[in-house]
Amino acid sequence: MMELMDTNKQKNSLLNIQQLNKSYQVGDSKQIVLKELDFQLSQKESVAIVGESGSGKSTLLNLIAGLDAFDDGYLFSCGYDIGRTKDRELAVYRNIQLGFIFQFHFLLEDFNALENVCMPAWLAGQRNVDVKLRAEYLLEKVGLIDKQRSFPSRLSGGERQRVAVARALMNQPKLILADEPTGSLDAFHAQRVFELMMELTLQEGGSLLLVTHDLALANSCSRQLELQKVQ
Amino acid sequence: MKIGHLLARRFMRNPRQKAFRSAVVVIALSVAPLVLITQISHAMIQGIIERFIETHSYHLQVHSLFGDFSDAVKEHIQEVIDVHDTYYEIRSYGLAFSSEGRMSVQLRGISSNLYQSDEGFHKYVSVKPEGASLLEGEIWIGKETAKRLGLGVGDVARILITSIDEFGQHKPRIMRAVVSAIVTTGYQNLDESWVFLDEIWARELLDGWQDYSFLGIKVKDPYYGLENTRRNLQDFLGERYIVYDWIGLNRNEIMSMNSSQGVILFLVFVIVLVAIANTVGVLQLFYLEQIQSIATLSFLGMGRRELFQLYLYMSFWASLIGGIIGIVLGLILTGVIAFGIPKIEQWSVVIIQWIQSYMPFLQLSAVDLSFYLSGIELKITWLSLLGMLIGIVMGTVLFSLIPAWRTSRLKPMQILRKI
Repeated sequence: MMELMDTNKQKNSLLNIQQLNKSYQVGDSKQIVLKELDFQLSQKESVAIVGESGSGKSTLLNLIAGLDAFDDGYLFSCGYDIGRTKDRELAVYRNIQLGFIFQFHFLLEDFNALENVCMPAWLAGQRNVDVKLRAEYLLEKVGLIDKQRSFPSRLSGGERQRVAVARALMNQPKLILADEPTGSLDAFHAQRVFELMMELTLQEGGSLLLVTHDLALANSCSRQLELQKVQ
Repeated sequence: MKIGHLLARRFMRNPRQKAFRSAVVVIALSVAPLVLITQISHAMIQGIIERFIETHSYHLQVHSLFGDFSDAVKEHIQEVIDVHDTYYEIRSYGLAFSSEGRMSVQLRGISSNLYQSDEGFHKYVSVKPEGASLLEGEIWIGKETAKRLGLGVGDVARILITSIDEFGQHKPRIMRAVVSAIVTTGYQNLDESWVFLDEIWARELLDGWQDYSFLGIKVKDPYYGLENTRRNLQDFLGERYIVYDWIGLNRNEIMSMNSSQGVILFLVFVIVLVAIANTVGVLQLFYLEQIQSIATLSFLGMGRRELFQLYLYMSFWASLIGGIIGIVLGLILTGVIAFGIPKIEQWSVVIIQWIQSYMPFLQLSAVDLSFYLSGIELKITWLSLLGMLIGIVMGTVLFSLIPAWRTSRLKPMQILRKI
């Protein structure tokens, strides 16, 4: 029964990681970053990934996003078997199923705030007027509707990060990956951005996987995953 | 609009996008000399051909195997085929000499009204003084002949010719004539040895074995349908006559010019190919300039196809904009060269006179461009320019295919590591 329940739980999981291993070649030696990692994430759940530097937090996010390849194990995310999915499909997966928020905003300098938010939809091939309406809705939610025509160079750090939050939610992704999203902000703006992120993610029906050193933010999530450095 | 195109257009407008601007400049600077050379060489060749066919070979020549060209034949030719006019000419060779030297010359007995009545002849032959007569005992000589022999208007020229005496023997004789005008077509290779004399006087003088006469025919369009006209005329005249067109008569000159032009164009084509390859290399810098944006777009889900398209769009626009700028620049340079050539000769005379006023011991001669054709009549060949632009764009895009493909194959993590 327990096994059946576990299997059902696995099937209902948005993210299912089993016995995941990842290492990097450093000169002649092999540095193990992740070793036999097991982890599941359900829908509408928020999890904070904590751990000391070098424990593989960002590496884990990159593997989940399909940006890097793991050595062996099993990684099932948003209906994709990441280890067996081809690059083209991984690009679609990242575009539709995932939303990214990094420590650095990574906004496109040649596009204004509204266009940056529209970009995931444009990459998905959508061009109709609904795209702009949704982008305006999200910018309003993050309090930047008045600055929709502003380019990133004209926005403050906190404002850029809020645009990044809006962009991450554009295609209503199932999973938001946030890697130290408040790391470069002061306490006031960090709190504001985090609250926005949590509120909108849950509102849109998504799950959140947050990498952070901030214990206060970690405690605000429904649970925590602590990674330890492999010796 | 495809996302790759949208991204390309936005990146191009970025004032910090140095790589794209550099690529445009590379293309423009390589296209400009190509345009200059093709237009000038085409105009020069056309100018030379026009001079040959309007002043020397005519559009068609009718040669009689029995030497008879009655007025009736001329009238029939004019009635049967669509000609503009016919002119009788008798030609021979001689040796002109003076105290300053000697030179072989081509004697041309022409109708005295050829210069006035024939538009092409009048257009390309400069006669100085204007309105000079060509009566019995008078000749017009080429500019280079006059220069070498030290002859001017009013001087008496002596030319050694041969004629047949009453016994049918060839004997040399000296022909004396007053120089009534100096002529030139602006292309020394053509007119340097010309000596014009009146046709009637020429008939009396020139009856040696090397002399020949023909009917020169001018048609309305010497380029289109000439072979048909030649064949029709030949059929009409029959076996007593042979009809030649200007292409056959000037075949060697045309082949030589085309060959030279071909070599020059080939060299410039190689230069353009190198420029295209450099442009593609410069566009690699664009990729590095935009590495952060490309990494971001990869995270957001931009696939390989879109990245490949982006690279090709940048190549396309760089080559199109650079090509258009290069063509405009090339046309401006062409205009400057074409209209500046006569000025170069004038200015060289002024400068040399000024130098020699201070240093009379220096022996300098002015630039003489009449050897190469003074004055170029420009006719822009729009079709060749369009073909050039299409070739440049296609070449750049083709050269960009492999770098674009390789760039698109990079995984996002590899891109990230470059930041």
